[in-house]
Order: sequence, then structure tokens, then C-alpha cells
Amino acid sequence: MQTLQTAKITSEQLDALDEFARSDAGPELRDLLLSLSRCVRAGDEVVIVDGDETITPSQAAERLGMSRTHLYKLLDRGEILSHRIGRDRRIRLSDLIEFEKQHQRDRRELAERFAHQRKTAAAANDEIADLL
Amino acid sequence: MHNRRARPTLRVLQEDLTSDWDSAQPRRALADGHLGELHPLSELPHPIIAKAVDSFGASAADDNYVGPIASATRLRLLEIKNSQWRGGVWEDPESRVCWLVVAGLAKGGHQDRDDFYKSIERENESGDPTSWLPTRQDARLLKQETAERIRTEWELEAQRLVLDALRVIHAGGTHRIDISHPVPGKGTFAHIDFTVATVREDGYEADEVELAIVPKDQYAGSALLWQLTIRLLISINPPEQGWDRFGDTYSNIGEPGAWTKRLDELDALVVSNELAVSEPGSTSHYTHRQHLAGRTINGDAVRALCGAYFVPTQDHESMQECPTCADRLAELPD
Repeated sequence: MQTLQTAKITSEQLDALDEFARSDAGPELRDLLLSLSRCVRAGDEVVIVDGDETITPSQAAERLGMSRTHLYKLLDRGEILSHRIGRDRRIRLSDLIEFEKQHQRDRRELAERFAHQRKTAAAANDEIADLL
Repeated sequence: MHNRRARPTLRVLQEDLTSDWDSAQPRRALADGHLGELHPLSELPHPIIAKAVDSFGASAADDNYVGPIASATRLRLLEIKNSQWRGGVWEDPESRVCWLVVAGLAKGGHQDRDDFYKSIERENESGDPTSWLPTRQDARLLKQETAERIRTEWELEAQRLVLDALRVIHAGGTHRIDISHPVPGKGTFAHIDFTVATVREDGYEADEVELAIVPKDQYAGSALLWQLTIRLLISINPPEQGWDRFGDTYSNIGEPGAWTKRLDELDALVVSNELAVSEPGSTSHYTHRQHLAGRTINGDAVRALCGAYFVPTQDHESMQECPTCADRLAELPD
């Protein structure tokens, strides 16, 4: 697995990539390139992996930056899919990425909710006022 | 349910109270249609509004007014006076809320056409004084104020429940918190499974907090649910960027003993009836340059090199640089 950093790519370069993707690339490469440029513009990390590769819970915990205790909780609840090889658990990288995508969306929304507390409070007031 | 203390109608603010304001702000908000900035209307800085509130407060037993206005025979108006200003207050027989529905100046020994009493007499004889009664918009503003009070009390209660739970589980354990809907009689709003797990792994020791917030189905996605969520998180730990989220589960990693330490801080807030305030990130992050301008305006979050999400609204120059971001930036090729 290779992790690519994207922070120094300019929007002009991304525009050029999009233009190439739309004009010269075939349909499959075009989808790949456009979704790549979308990810870069959104500031997401881009990870290219073999989706069938599996890792251990310890490796997964490290990759996600959480404790093994917390990771096992997520595995027990089925929020990250896993399977067993004998007594050991294994996690498919593609499942970990699926989890991480949702996780990043949720974290982004939480950051926005923290920043917009006044707006939420006003909307909450309206929900109460509608019942009065 | 509503506070009965006197409050002006929008018509009074727009048409009757054209001078003697202690501040220009309310008139400006009115002119711009920013009615939300008028709250609470009973506290708007005008001498006759102050007098109305003084005369008609939360308890009817303490009412103190001149008497009924004799010329208003079609609408029961109670008179209040403050130097040249006169006002007529109408008490809503259903909600008991007192409304300042008309105001004006006493002029020319009550002979002037613009005199307060003259205009009431004129409206009573040839107009329709009931047109002065609060409109739907007035009623809406009243409901919003009441809703604001109910919400604040609801959040104080939620904060208190977090304290009660934390007393039990600060050093480890799970506790369920039941939250009622803020509006009385609406039953359960959500329940929360609140866990403190003491993690003692090799090379990693922490007290991890987890909150699973489970709303009743009909409240999923509501602003109230977000309001509650943010309140619970801030009560436990105010720094915003310490919180992680997956779905309805929120987690935070504290040093061993962190939640025992939080007990005293939270107790002080509960005792003084104050809500905890969240603390936005205190470090300055690196992120992809072209995101910033638009995001600051829209208030969308961006992802920093270190992985934290933040809404770039603050002046970052004054803040300390995030060490993780700085390390990652140094690793990047030029």
C-alpha cells in the first residue's frame, strides 16, 4: 500500500488533468482520473491498494490511529467487517477503506457542527417553537 | 409556559416608537428585517418598553399601572407612563402574556392630533383598535424566545445528567442517560450509552470515552439532536478537535485520570448554572491552499495534513503551529 500526499498540487494542474481526462482518456481511465482529481480537490488522501490484501487488528488500529481496544469494539459491532483465520481476526483493506471513508465524512460533519453552533441552536429553537 | 412580562408588538416598534431609543441597533435590525436580532423584545432599549416591563412583570400580583385607558372601549388597554411617553398594554386572556400594543407621546395638553390619547380615541371611534393586537409574526417571535429558554434549560439538564453519569463511571464503566424531549409531555428524545474504558496496553495508556447517542427514530437528523450531541460532547470535553465520530458514536481519548479531573470543572459549571463552552483548535494547521478562501466563506470543514478537520474561520497567525502538520509538510517533495 502506498499513500500519496496531494497538498502541493495546484488547482491549475488539476484543471489540466481534468481536461486531459475528458478529452484523451478512455472511459475507464477517465473515471479513475476524474475521481482522483475530485479527491485531491477535496483534500482527501489518495490510497491505491490491492483491496483483497488483509491485515491484522493491530495493524488496522495503527493505520487508523486508534487503540486496539477501540478497534475491537468496532469489529465486534460490525462497523468494520472482519473474518477469522483460526483464532485470529483479519481485516480486508478494502473494508478498512470503506470504514475510513464514512469515518472521514462523519468527522468532517462534526467539525462543521462545532463551527456552526449558533446556526444549529437557532434551528433547534425553531423545532421547539413549532411545537408550542 | 410563556413569560408574561410585557413585550412590544412589531407594529409598535415600527410605527409608534420613532424616537428616544437608547441605541440605534434595534431600528436598524427592524429596517433590515433581521428580526432574530431583536430578542428578547422585552429588553429593547426604549424608556416606554422598560416602563411596560416594570409595570407588567412575570407575576400578575406585582402589576403596577395607571389604570384602564377610558377612551379605549373596544379593547381593554392598561395605561403606563414614562415622562412624555404613554403606552397601552393588553393582556392576552389565553396566554396571559402582556403586550405593549400602542404607544405615543402626550402632546399639547391632549389637544394635539398626534397626542397619544387623541389617537386612541380616533382609532376607537372610527378605526379598529383590534388591528393593534399581536400578529402571527409577533406570536412567532414570542414562541422563539420561549423556545430559546426551553432549549437552554434542556441543555443545562443534559449537562447535569452528564455530571451524574461521570460521577459513576469516571474511572471506568458504562452508564445509560435518558434524555426527554425539551417540550414537556413529548416523552423520550434519546438515550445515551456513556462508557469510560481504561486502556492499559503496552506503551499505550489512556482513558477512552465513548458516547453512543441513540435518538428516537423521528428525531434522527434533527437540529435538536445535533444540539444535544454537541452539548454532551462539550460537557465531557470542550476541545473540539479531541472528538472523533463514527455514525452516532463519539469518542475521545483522555490521559489516565482525565475524566476524574473533569468532574470538578463540570461540577462548578452545574452549580453556577452555566453551560460549558467549546474550545476550537488552538494550533494552526496546514491544508491544501486552494481550499481555504471558499471554505472560510461557506464555513465548510477542510482536512489538515495531520488528519484533523477544521473550519478555517480563525486568525491562524496568532496560533501555535500543529507539530504533526509541520512534520508532514517537511516530508513532502517541493
